[in-house]
Amino acid sequence: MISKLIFLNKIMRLLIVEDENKTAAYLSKGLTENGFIVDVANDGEEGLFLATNQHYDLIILDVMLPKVDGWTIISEIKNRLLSVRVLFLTARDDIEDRVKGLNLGADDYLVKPFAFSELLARVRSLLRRDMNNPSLDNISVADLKVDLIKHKAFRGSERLDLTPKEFALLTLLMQRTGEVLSRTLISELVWDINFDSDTNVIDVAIRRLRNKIDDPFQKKLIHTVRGIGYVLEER
Amino acid sequence: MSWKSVKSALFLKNSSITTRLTFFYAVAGFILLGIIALFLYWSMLNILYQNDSRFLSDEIRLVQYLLQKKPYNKLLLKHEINVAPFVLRKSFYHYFIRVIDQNNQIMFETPGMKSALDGADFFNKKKHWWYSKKGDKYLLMESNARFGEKIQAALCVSYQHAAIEQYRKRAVAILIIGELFAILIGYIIARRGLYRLRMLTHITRKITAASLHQRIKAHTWPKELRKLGLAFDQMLDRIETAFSHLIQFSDDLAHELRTPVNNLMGQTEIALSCDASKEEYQHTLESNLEDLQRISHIIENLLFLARAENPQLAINKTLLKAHDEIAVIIDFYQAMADDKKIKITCEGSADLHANQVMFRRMISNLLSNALKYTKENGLIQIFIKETPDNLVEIIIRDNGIGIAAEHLPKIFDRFYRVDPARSHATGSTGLGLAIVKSIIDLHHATISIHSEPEKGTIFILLFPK
Repeated sequence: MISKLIFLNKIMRLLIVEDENKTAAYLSKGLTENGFIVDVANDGEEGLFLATNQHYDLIILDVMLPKVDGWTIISEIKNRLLSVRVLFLTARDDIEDRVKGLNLGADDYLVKPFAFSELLARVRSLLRRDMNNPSLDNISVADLKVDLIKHKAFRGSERLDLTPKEFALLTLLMQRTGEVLSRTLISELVWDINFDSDTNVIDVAIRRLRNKIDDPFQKKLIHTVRGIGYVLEER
Repeated sequence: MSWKSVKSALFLKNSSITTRLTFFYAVAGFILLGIIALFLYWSMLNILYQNDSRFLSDEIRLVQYLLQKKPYNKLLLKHEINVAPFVLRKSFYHYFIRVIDQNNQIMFETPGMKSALDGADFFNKKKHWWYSKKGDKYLLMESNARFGEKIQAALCVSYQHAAIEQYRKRAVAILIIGELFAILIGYIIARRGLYRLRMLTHITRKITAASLHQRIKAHTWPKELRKLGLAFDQMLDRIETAFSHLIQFSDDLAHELRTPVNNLMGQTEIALSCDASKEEYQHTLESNLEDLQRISHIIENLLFLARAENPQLAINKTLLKAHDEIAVIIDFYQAMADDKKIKITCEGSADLHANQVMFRRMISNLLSNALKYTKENGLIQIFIKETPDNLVEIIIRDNGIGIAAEHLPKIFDRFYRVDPARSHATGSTGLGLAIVKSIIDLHHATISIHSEPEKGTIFILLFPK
């Protein structure tokens, strides 16, 4: 956990506005365990009050809320020119809703039901946008190294022979080292597949990548987190 | 007054067909009977008039004949003029006759004529009606005799009034009775004619979800209603099919969800009932997560299908380069194909208007399907081309295990699987091709499938540009 806090360099404050108690509770628990400071508002009125009177880095907002709906909260935040980022949750997988939310100024959305790992990944990537992330030319984890400019990957001194997609997959895993990436997120970020698809494909792709970067070596770097996805880290 | 306002004034607007038909039969009957009665009335008047005229002419001709020779046969003339009218009066010919000489002096005259016909004018020798001061109606006639005498005759026709009056009463009576018959018969005809319609209502009313197999069986019905009855039967066929699909679907859905839910319950129960180690709990939770993901996956797919069926759904289409879109999907499946040493090729190109996400999802499902059922070292070929009739044809062809003919008609049904035993091993939800079909329908495109076991399967998609 500590490593993740260091990765973000500072402690981030999140607000969850969600009327479904069980959902709010597990989101709060999950995010707290991942090193965030989390406040929960159980209705729109409370959410609007907290959002406009406290400082948060990110608000996770359910749009279907009692008293004051999510759209109103987004509009109010944007009216007051608050710098907080907004990720909204929509139960209906409705294109109209997504467009509406993004038009109002929200930064991202998730469609219910979603995997927690998915939410975590999106929260992190939204917060990362805030920090002036130096665009790295080289990333290395243990003795694994990728050169983003020359499109080359090395394990120790040995050059790894990767296809372009394998390289992209490895780059993603290395950029987000320590983060568990879901299959859905991987297919979206590497292949631009943003619909419910055959996730076996990701397993196959990871296996083939492992064949090249892990199997011949003593130290394994890609780890499977069962039921969630994959993570590349030094253990 | 327009016909519409007449109709609403007559309360016909919302009345039953029986009432309307009866009304129209009654109107038709009234008009017909009225015309007949009027015609007969007119004929009768005409006949009476002609009879009267002929009678007067005959009388005048007789007197003329008697006046032809001088000296006049006064005896006969007197008889004709003075006596005969009184004799004939008994047979309802109440008439008068007179002869006037050149000096306008009355030579002979039926007694009582002067007083009865006081003021009568026999002008111009034309036949005409005249009403006396007493109110009697006369037919007047005048004619010349050989030596310049004038013969004037008058027939009282008042007695006819009674007969005519009687006739009128009868005509009205017949009209009323006939009208009542017309209403009655009209009503019976309408009821009989609409009997099948009532039967249709009766049968339709009895049809419930449980008795969708019922049919009207209108083959022997009158032509106009036969079509309606047969159309009803066809509609029932469609509803029954759709309904059985729906039942099958609920059945399948329950079954699909039961397996993962049972797993979840069982695993959780066991984990809770015994003191397990942290690793065991973790293992149970991981396994639970997999089952939950499976359920979530099914729900997502079903939601997609449900939304696609909403006729109001407007999809956002953009101009796509089919080859590029397909290349993205091939790229996605490349690792899997390489793994099975399957070669995927894509030839040709075309532009088409489609929703990008849906188009990709459709190709992805078809390709995933092809990969699943193609053996190692197989070949999957995709051909894109524009047809002469301005459509874009996309052919996806594999040389895999193929599909037996009996499965082909059901291949796009939800949860339909050629080999149910394989489903869980391959991780399929059985919704992939159903989603393909719904995307095809949303784009007003068509899809056809040709397959032969052990030889392979060909999907042919035709998209409007």
